[in-house]
Amino acid sequence: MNNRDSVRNTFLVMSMLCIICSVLVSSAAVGLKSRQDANASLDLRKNILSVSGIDYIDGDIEKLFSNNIEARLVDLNTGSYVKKTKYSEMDATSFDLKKLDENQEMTDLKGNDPAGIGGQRENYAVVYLYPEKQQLILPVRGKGLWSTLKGFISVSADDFTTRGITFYSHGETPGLGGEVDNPAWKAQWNQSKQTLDADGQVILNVTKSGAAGPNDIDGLAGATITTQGVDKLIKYWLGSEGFGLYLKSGNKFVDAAN
Amino acid sequence: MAEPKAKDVLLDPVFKNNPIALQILGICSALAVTTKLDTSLTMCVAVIFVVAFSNLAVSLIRNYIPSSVRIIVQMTVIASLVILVDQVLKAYAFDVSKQMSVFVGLIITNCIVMGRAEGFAMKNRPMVSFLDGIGNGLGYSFILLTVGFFRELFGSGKIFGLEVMPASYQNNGLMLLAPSAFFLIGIIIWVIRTFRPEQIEEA
Repeated sequence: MNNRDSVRNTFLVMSMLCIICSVLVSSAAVGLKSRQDANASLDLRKNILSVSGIDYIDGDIEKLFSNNIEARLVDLNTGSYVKKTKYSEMDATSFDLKKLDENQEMTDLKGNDPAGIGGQRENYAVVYLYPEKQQLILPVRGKGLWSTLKGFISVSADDFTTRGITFYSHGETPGLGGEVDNPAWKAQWNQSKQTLDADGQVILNVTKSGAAGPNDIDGLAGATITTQGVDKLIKYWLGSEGFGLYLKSGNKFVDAAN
Repeated sequence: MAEPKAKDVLLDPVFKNNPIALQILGICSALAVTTKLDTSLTMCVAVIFVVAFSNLAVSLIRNYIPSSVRIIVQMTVIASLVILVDQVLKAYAFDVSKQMSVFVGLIITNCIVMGRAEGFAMKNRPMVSFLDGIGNGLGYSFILLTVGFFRELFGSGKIFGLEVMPASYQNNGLMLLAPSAFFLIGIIIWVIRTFRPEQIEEA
């Protein structure tokens, strides 16, 4: 015990501690990974069901999802469906944005990044179809005040009017920007607001709270930056840089051609 | 130093020496996670687990810890336990852990955990330190659940997500914002000190 403050003992104790703690932490992370992934994918499905307006509260989520929703892989640079990405074997069901990032299959936005998605946009995206109600469910993301908001917007396949919105991941201020989760606010998006004009320009505005016209979305009170973030991300992803080409393409309810 | 009695270390922190009400530690998380009872309860279980086991671990190795790096050793132990809790919550209680977001990770910085490791576990034997951790966790839980109960009842008209107030009840939005937790903790401290005047500090 006399030499417990010696340099040798300090190193010994610290290295032992680090080894024990890291084994503990990493075995927990690895051991629970599959369960966590299952939870995350279940959560994603819940969000897709909720943005489609399907009541899933008492239902079997897997079953509701597989009965109602279909996934397609879209090449954002051409706007058409593809069976798998040019770079790897990933298809609509095995598509993983994280892996995509690592493989550098992105389009450089060259500084033109109004939604704040990190300076580059992926070349492929998975969209979801709800054939029964003729809805397209598009993934969107963009910078709010503190965080990147990630979510889905649901639009009608006929006239591209809004059918719903949901954000499954964000870190905005609870009670202010965090109100993007508030069902009362999200309900505005169910009311068939016009998103595109005849030329494919995005005409939907998310305005300052209280300043919304009949075809606008009323923003969140006390959350100016989050509101502007939502406005920009909608304009970006529905516009020509995002899903614009895809929305202009023909019938969406077909299988990928190649 | 006399060995503290097991019953005392377990029950004293609930009323007599409550970490929040008397020592005013761990206030931040008490504001953040108490809008609903289910998040409050999850937080309580997580904190009890972390304090108890960090006390146990620190006490077990207290005779080997070089005093120059003892705070780092305590932090390492606490941080590992918190990551463990966070991983388990993500795997088994995904919805709750999503609502609590960063506040699980912030247990690392909860002054109660560090305070008990440094102030008690470094000087006492493992079993009694473990009980002290549970006791302090219970003291923290007592405040959190009381605050969570009133905030959910008056803020949303619910208890554990079940509607209990009559339909005509107008929810009080203030109860869902952080200041209401300050008011409630203040009231709890006042009530405790009314019954235990020895806790009143000299002006």
